[in-house]
Amino acid sequence: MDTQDGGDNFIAPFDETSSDQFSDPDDADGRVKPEARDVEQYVRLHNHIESLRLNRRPQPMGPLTDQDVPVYRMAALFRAAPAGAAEPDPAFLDALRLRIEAAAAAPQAEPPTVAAPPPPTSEPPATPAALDLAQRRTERRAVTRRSILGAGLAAAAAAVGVAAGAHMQHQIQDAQYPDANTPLVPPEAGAWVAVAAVDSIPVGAVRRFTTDTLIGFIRRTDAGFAALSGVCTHMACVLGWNERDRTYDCPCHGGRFTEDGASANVSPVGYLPLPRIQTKVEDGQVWVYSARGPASTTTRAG
Amino acid sequence: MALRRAAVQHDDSPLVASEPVDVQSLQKLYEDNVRAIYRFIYSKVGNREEAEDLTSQVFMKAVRSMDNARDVQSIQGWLFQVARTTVADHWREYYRIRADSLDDLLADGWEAPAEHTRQLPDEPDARAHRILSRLPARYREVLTYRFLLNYSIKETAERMQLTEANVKVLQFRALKKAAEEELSDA
Repeated sequence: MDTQDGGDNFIAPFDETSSDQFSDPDDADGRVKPEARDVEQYVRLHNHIESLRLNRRPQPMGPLTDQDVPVYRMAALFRAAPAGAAEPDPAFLDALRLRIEAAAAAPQAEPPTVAAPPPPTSEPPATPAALDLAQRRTERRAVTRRSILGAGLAAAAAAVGVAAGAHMQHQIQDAQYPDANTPLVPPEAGAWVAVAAVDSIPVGAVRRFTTDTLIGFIRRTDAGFAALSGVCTHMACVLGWNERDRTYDCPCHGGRFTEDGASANVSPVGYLPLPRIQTKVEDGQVWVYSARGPASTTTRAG
Repeated sequence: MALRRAAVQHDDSPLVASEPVDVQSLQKLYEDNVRAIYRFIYSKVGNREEAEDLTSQVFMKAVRSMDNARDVQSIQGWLFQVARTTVADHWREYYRIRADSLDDLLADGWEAPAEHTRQLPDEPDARAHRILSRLPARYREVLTYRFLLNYSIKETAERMQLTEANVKVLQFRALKKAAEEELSDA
């Protein structure tokens, strides 16, 4: 891969407890060892990013320095970059609307000034509005859909084809509903693409795959291989596989799906199931039936 | 917390409310602006929990301060100004940024300079993609995996054939470089 920063040579295993073993990804010879305070910085930013990926308020930490701030700001900005990620949850909008209307009707009911943000806590504040929101999230079954294809798509596609492809996949998914048994790519509409060696996926494992037109997961069970779309049926965010809970988790609005693609009980609302994608095994490879792209669909994803 | 309040111009003082807010124009104000305000705030905090909290704060301030006489454009500009100061206060308190470093940030255009406050910020996703497209390939790759595709550190390491520790270094440097690009973008 071409790179402008000589970052192609990555060597040496790394032990987080010792900066001596910390290899520098930009140092081809591995001679430069980052100082302990640098290692601390990397780990701290990493923990912060992981909180953001869970959509949670990050844990309090030491003061950010002048050098830290731009880096953390960028982390927040890039969190807003995936399609649909920065879209508000419809249930939240409904709850806030009610709260505002109530405040306008009875201006004295709310304190005259807005208090500082509450101290970080994993428990949401038990205000009537918060309770209302929680209830709405649980009860709401119909999920608002909005087309999020916009002017930014061309730019997004240029930067990252896969993320932009998620829009398209989402639109196809929308069109397919409600027949959950219909495969995402109907017969005759696509082409078979080999995405993994059979031996590379043990029974019980879940692997991500991408083709030119699809993002999805392959799962191997005793019964064989099955594939599901990896794009959230809510607003087209790309799902991640959560090995611990064995769920597909959405980074945008907290949606979660069970291993076989159903909306998990812990989802904020009931989402449409993940469409399935046809698979076959041939020549020691797992193949998925992928939509035809603008170019030939021969991309192999490991 | 032993923090001074920064000497930042706070332009979210209540507008003079000449008459009670009528509910219909309030609803319109909300519907017209809440998504853009939320997206703006989300792009400053990067997580739903804080974005919902701060968006609520902005609109609760608006309820108390809205003036029916204001035209739509100036209300929108004013809402964004409230959002900016709300986010800045939040960063200051929550991340314990030293007051003077925040002043530097403001001077650097973290928040729009005062004379531009009526101009609405562009959409954060477009800005992120623009910055991304200007980064060296390796940096663009790590940020794409981590932020756009939501890959775990382990998955990213496998894809990039790096150790997980390497990915942690690389994502730090990529974001740092992105911040430099953003400055030149402004």
